[in-house]
Amino acid sequence: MNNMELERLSRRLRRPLRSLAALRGFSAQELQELEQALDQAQGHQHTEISKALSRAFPVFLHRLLLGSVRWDSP
Amino acid sequence: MTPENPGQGLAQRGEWLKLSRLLGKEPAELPFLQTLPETELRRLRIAASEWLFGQHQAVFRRLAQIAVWLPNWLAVPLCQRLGPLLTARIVGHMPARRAAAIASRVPTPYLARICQHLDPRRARDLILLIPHPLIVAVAKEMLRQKDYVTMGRFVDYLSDEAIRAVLDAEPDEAELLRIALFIDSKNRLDHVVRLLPEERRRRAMLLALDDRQDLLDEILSLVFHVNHMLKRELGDLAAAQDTAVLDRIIERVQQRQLWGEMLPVVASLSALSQRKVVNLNTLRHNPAVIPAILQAADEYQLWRILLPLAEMLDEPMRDEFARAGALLPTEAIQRAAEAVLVGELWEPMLDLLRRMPAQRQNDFVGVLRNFMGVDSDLDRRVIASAHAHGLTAALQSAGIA
Repeated sequence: MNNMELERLSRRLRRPLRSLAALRGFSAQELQELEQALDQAQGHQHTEISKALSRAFPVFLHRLLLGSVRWDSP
Repeated sequence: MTPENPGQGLAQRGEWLKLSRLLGKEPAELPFLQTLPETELRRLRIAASEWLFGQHQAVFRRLAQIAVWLPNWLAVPLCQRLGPLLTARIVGHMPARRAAAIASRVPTPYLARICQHLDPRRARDLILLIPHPLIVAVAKEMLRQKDYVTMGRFVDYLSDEAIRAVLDAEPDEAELLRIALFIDSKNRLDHVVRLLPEERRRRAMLLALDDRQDLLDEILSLVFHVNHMLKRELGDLAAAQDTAVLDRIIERVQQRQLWGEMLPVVASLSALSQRKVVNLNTLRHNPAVIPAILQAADEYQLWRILLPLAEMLDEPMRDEFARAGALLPTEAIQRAAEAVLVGELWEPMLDLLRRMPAQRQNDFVGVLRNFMGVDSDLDRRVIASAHAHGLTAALQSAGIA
């Protein structure tokens, strides 16, 4: 029933499915809520860091310091 | 909860809170997580934390490489400008010695904020290099902010000397109890409690008397997770208090269904304390308590702990336990019988059995019959004891002489 959600979670957290066996008891909807919470935490982290980088460095310095290092959306 | 790890109620709630906080949520927003056992919640938290901390590594590494070369007068204001989250991520990629040098110049309130976002597992070396006065100052700031969760996460990674310095600097045992609830490693908790002088451990336990600040969860969590000797020391202290205090404890254990954790504590008490606790009227007054105790004994395989305590029960309490025991399912009786056999607990079991209805006596003796024929000495002793407890009819009905 929730295999698809579990597999997605396993890929995202880079954990083998068996290590998430305890989550099998959750419904598909609950797993989706967990995934959403992870998304939001990731989004929040990304926004915070983005804001911090822009606050700390002007654009040209930003490019100079980070060079080819990519700062992509999550 | 698992039979190997009985009743993880309070520690489980601590983990639920820590995971929710990592995800920027209130625990109530992820209610289904509360059904996971503590170990699984911790596993999920570590996986989520590694996933979050593992992102944008290249950016953090590059910034760390730059920060290493900056003079302190520039690095300190820069890390304040970067904000606590980004600083915490960069710190994980810096040489510990350089990060410690910068940390010692950063204002304490800001350091406390960085700690909220720092994964202490990635900053072990740095934590060990921070001078104790600075650790104490940051701890005090965290206490001011009531950030017990972050403090609990760091305890595993602090040296004994650093912990002693914090303990010496914080005179309020109530605050220490609040932190203890969130210590990750329960082995470490045991060790930290030992670092506390005996008089302070005593004062911490006596906070159970203080109904102005509700610290029962914190006190119970502490007693549940320390080793046998400390369980006995702390448990005897609590047991020596007025029965009103013990009633409050029993009420909380029942409310949170923590009998799987409580029974080992009662078993570790001195005989005098055990007798007082197991005969408390409050066990009798709430009709749900004794069945809950028996259910926990069965669910967490604690018959070998519970049955010796039955020898401490007064006569009316034995009747109560027998009445509740008679309502257990047959499989539970079977499991209790196995524990009786392994632990040689015939006396307390047969004494309870003689108080049960004939049908239940027959069930138990029927189980016994399966064990017989292996050790003739044991058979003789058990049969003699069963006769002595007035179970002759049950023996006869099972075809045992």
